[in-house]
Amino acid sequence: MSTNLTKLASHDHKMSSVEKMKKSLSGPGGTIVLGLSIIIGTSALWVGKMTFTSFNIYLILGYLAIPLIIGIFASFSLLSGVVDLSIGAMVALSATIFALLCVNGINEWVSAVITIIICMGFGAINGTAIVVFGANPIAATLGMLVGLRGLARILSRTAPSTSTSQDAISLFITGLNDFTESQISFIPVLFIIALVLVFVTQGIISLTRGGRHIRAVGGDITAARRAGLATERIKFLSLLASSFGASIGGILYVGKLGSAPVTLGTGMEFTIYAALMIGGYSILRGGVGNPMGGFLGLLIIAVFANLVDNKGLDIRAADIFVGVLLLVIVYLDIRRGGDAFE
Amino acid sequence: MTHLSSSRFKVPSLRKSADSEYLATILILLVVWIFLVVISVINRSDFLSRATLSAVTFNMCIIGILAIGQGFVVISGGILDLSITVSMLITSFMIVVFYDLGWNTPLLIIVSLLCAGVFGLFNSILVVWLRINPLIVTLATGFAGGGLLLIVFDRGLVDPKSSIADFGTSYLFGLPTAWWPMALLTIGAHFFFKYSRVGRHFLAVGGNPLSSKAMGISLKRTRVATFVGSSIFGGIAGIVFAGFTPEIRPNAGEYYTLPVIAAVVLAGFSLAGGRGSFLALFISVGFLSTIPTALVFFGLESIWQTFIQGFILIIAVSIDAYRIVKVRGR
Repeated sequence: MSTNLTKLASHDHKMSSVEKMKKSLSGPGGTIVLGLSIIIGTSALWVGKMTFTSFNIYLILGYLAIPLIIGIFASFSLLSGVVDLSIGAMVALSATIFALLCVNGINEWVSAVITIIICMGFGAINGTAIVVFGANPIAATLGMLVGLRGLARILSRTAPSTSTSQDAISLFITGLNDFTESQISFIPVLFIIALVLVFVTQGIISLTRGGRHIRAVGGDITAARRAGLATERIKFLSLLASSFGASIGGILYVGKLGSAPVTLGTGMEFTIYAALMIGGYSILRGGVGNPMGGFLGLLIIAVFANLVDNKGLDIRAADIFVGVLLLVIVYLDIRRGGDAFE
Repeated sequence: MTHLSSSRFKVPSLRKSADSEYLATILILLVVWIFLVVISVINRSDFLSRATLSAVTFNMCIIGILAIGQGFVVISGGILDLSITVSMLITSFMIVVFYDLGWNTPLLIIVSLLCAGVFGLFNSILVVWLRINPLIVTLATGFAGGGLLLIVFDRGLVDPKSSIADFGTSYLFGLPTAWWPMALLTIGAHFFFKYSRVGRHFLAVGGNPLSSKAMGISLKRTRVATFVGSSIFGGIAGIVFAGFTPEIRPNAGEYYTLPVIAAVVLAGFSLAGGRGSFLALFISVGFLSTIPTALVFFGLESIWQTFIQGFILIIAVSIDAYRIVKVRGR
């Protein structure tokens, strides 16, 4: 994995093999691989053989798949220099709308399309506030986060009382559930799809002109504008992409859980962005990071959550771990010449 | 900033324009607030009652004090303190712990505030010495701190006979006693940032850190003071919170984080730092605290509150950004 990342990291530069080696150890890739080895090693020592059973790997990858899909789409907005904090709430809204439509007897496919369109409509509101009016992305999408959580709660109450319990619309869609639970040997199909998405996105970001444009807008918007790029359109589209990913995630969760709880995705934005930042993205500047790193960052968090689960520890210990890990990774990035504060 | 520069250079117009800009914000907020009250009264004439006044002022106490702390961070260029509710809950829980140990009230208040201060010091160490962006620092410490609170404390029961609970449930001059600290702190903050030398230093650092440094203001000291200060304000809110909450839950902070940021942005504080009025903040806290009660009178459940608050925040930041673009030109 390390060599793979090195290739990706050094894609733009021609370097000697020694320089590549050095860079792979001190660069973001090195940090991630080191972190991953430490966490897997800890798990292997502490939990024992159980870490590597096929069922446990299935659990880890199953836990990882949907957040990974959401995270990959959200990474487009990070790359173009805007952070969308509303993705967690968007997941809850999408699940609620989808479940509500299905409960009311609308065909699942039609419901899914309507859900995605509505969610992207809210993504467009984000885009209008941030791109057209120039609002601070963090403040605007924080508002969207709270607004959408409220909306999900309001909509959830309108469902027929027979299908709601404890702030969740429950419905079981056989086809969708089969799809989200299906596996090839011990690898969940959803995870394979997510991984394909990671590679495709990696290709788009590093090889195509569109990918370079997104990085350019995130890296230096003034330069990108002077180079004649449609900077505003790129930012707007990247925000639409993140809301699209979140709406897909919400629909998949309904299939997996058999219900749409209004608390779905609470704090997910923090976990996903922490993972992406571990993987080399930054929520403060665009143009940096790659999807492979984001995937490994999420893998670190998933392995840790699994470790906590297997040891029967308090699940909230994962919050502390994510917080501390985030600080360590950002500090290491600053030591390497990342953007320090003052 | 204007005070500092006017000692050497004459820039009278800058100060005047800043004041008139705040005045416009205050007036707009007042009009919106009055409009909300008027339509609520037209809808239900019994809206204007002692019960409403008491509900709104109780809402204001916590959000108001937290908003002063948050405003302090924003105006001095610290971006945002996303962990301010953790400081609040640390203090509330420490009060319960020390009370159960049998400490006397002044001592336990001071020591619990110090605990919040230590948390703020930890934030500022990460910001100043490790040079991590405050937004990431407070996101992480808020996340980790919240998790730690959940693990360590299940819940905190405040003794209803304690003087803290007395303070939280009694009334003074017709308003809740707990409301007065917020009002006094607002006035204090207003005069501190407008007239005191130290206050102007914070404003200067928020407006332009590099030129402030060139003028001899220590950035490090300012940052430490900012984050310790915001945690202390969080701690004061924690005292008030312990006063009128019989049972403190470790996840109680979630409810406050956003309204506080909404209040600060709505009051015209620039997230880039250096600009903001604490009088406007008072009005925006009042307006946001009236919404929940008004919703009840409109027959809407309290779940509508978060929905409306979220979209008010988006609209407010959009208008704010648009105004700046218009002033500066593209």
